[in-house]
Amino acid sequence: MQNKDNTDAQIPEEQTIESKTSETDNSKQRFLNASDLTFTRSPAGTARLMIKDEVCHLRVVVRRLMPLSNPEQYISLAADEDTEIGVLVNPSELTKDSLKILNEELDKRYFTPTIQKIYQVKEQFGVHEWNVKTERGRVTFMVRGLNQNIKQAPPARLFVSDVRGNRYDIPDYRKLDAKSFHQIKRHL
Amino acid sequence: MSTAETPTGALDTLPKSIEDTLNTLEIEFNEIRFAVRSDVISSGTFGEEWFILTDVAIITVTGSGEVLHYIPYKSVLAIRAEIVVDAGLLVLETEEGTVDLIRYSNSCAPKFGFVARYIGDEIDYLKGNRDEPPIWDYKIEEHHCKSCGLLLADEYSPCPACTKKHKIMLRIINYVKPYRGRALLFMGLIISGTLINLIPPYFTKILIDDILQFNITTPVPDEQTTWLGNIFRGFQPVLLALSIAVGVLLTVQLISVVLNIFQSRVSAWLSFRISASIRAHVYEHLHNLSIRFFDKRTTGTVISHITEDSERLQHFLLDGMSFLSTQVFMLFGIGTVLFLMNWQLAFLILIPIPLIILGGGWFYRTVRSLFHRAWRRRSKLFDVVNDSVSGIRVVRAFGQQTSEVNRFDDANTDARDYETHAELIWATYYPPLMFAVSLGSLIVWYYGGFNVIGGGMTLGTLMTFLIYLNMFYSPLRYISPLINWASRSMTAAERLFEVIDSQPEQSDNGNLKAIPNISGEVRFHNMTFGYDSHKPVLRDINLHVQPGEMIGLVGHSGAGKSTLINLICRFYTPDSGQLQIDGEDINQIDLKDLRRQIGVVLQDPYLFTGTIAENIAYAHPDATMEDIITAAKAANAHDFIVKFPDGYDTEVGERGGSLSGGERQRISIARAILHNPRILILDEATSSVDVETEKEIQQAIDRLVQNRTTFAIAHRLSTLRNADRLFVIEKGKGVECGSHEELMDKKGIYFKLVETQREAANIRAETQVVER
Repeated sequence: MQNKDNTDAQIPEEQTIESKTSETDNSKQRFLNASDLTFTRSPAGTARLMIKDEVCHLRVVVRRLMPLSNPEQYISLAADEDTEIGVLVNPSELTKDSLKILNEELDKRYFTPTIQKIYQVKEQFGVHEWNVKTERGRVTFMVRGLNQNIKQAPPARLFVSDVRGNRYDIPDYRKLDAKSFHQIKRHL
Repeated sequence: MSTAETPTGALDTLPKSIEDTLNTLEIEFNEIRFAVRSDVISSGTFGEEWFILTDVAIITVTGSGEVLHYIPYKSVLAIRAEIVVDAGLLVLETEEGTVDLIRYSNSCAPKFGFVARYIGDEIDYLKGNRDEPPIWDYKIEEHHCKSCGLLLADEYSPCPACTKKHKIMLRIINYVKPYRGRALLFMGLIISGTLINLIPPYFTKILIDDILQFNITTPVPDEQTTWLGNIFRGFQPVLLALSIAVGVLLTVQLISVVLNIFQSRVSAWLSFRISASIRAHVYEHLHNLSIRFFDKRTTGTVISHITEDSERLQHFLLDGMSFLSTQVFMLFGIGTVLFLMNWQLAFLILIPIPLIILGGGWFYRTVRSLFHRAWRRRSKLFDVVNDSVSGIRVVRAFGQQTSEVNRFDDANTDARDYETHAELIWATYYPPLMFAVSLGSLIVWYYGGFNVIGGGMTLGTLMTFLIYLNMFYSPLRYISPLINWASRSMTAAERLFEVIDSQPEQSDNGNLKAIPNISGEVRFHNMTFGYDSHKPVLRDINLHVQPGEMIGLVGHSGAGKSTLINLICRFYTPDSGQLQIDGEDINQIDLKDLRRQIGVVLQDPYLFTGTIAENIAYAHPDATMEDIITAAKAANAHDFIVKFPDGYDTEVGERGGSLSGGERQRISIARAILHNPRILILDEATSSVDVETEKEIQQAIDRLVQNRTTFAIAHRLSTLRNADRLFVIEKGKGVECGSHEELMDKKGIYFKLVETQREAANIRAETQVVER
């Protein structure tokens, strides 16, 4: 984005064309100001976004720009799947009520359970049955072919994919308790 | 919701308790049509929630029967299964706004995807947007073993529980059958080799006890007789015995060497033949499998099936089998001899055995996983090297040498640490393990020595016993890694058989229609298809193409154009509705006939290793040189081929690396021309080349499409100007169909696409002018 702005500055003709085309300029990223934003819920339960002195979006789609490395910041807000309103860099600056709604919406979109404790990994016929505790509750799932279905992300993050297409996150396997780690260490 | 028949093949059974609770509540409905269970509750934790479809409304309830939503059909505008990260969400558009109805994990996504599609169609039908009511055709995507119910990877995989390990061994033995003479010889050699090896220690006993006991008094040489006489004078029978004993030992060892040579030769001969025939069988079968089989597996997995697994199996058959069988025979043979010699001692030496087996088992498991981890770090290290060396120009251009070196250092340190750790463990635990093995002989030394001193046992017996003992323990030492090796090889064999056992793309059940000469009529009727059937990529496609017609497929990327083409090639079969060629359902047509008459020109044409001529004649190896040249000429390829020093004999190298994109494209067109298909598919054939080359290729294509039914995909709409009709696909649905002029007049989606491209082209033209 920064680059694009620079080139624009060097070629004044381009700028005039842009200003002619429309108000909502596609080439400029909009960063939203947390103090201008208010999230509310409609009677039907939909998350609404009010931008001060501007518009009210009846349904807002939230996405993390860095869901793995920085899930708390850089949230893209969109009016529908294709139309981004802008990026909110730091949601913690929102009011408490708005932040709560935003977090609920994020939780809806990002399901990936985080494994907190591994009770057992049992193998039968090449299918490993995992019995784990996640922040969403205790769950048992099947993983076929551990080598292909455990993805490592540096430094020590693991993603485990089960046979039904669910994905489970172990943010840092070094921080698991000894018993849990023992269950998986030979697959690392 | 009144028209469609009650769905059968219901998804989940609503618990009686919830049904009862619903009946007691004052909720308006007459009949529950079906219920679907979700595994996530609205707060986002795992749990139970129910989606219930009644005759008048959609209801969701918690696991305890508490109603969360009650939404009458009347107010529903649309329903969709939204895919979020690692889960799903059923969303209703109602007159009051959007409702996030129910959450579910990916385990339930197929069910809810189907529900959304079905209800969506039903609503469309009620509103008159659809001619026919939807058909309840829910297919469970999961495949369970028919005999034991175990969840399988896909419908093509055999059940691992029902294919027992010993059955795999039996199947391998099946491959031995053609060579049973040699196999018997092999077994004979192993048995006799083992027996022969039992002889030398016994002679040790004779040597010590019966021969070496004698003290020969050296006679005083008599100067009267000759040197020869002196020898004879000193001759005593015991020396003869000694010579005989040593002679026997020598003979035994010679025989053993000969047996060994033969055994290794036979083993090599056998194992290479067995693994080669398994490999051939797998490879042949692979080419008959459905494309879906390859979708579910990466190319790497499939390649490793053929190479690594069969190599592993072969290695085991070659070395492992003979080693294993020798060792097992040895174990039993020596065990018997030991017990026969002295059963008390034999019992004593059994004491350390559990220790050896358990300790050895633990040791090899640990060491193996450690070495595996080290190996993975090492391969990561190679990845880093590969990455930065292949991208060396980028690294230099951005001045990132230091950071690349650091990246390597990190990986290198990591690999170093893991490798050191593995070696340290080995170094620490291997000696104690060996000590445990030697414990047995200490027991024998003590107990046996005690007996020898006491006179209950001869020294020879003790020595022999010790030698046998050593021979007895050595197979034990290897038993754990051997079992490991065997089981890994059996897994490799299992994976190979998995390919062989997978269902072929088309099984000839005798009903297949042979169509030797396709006229080229293609008809889609209400056809729906998705790579996962709950996520349709194409919906209700209706299109009737006349023989010889050229259809341009237009739409945004991801709209489903390439999928449509995959279906025409019958890489996949429609989920519902029909696809007919010459009035025959495509599933009923003999694939050989179909594929012989379909030709494909892709964006990035795949050329095989070989010469240009071989590549052009790929589908017709018996084509004459005249045919090849004519085809090349028509494809505008001849002129540049002639300029190569090796002409038509030019090696194109891997993936045609030595040719430019435009050249490869024209060769692939020549290949299609020579193939002379009735149905031709052009998938972005001209998008990867410059404008000049495009003209040449376009010309070649124009010649190629004559008199053939053609389906062409192109992003540059101008390349479709020769199409008879354009079929516009938008989000999986056929939305417009007609000639360029008709669609331009209609001012619909096609019109917009053309306008956008025209603008883009103008901008491009302007910037080019500015640059000059």
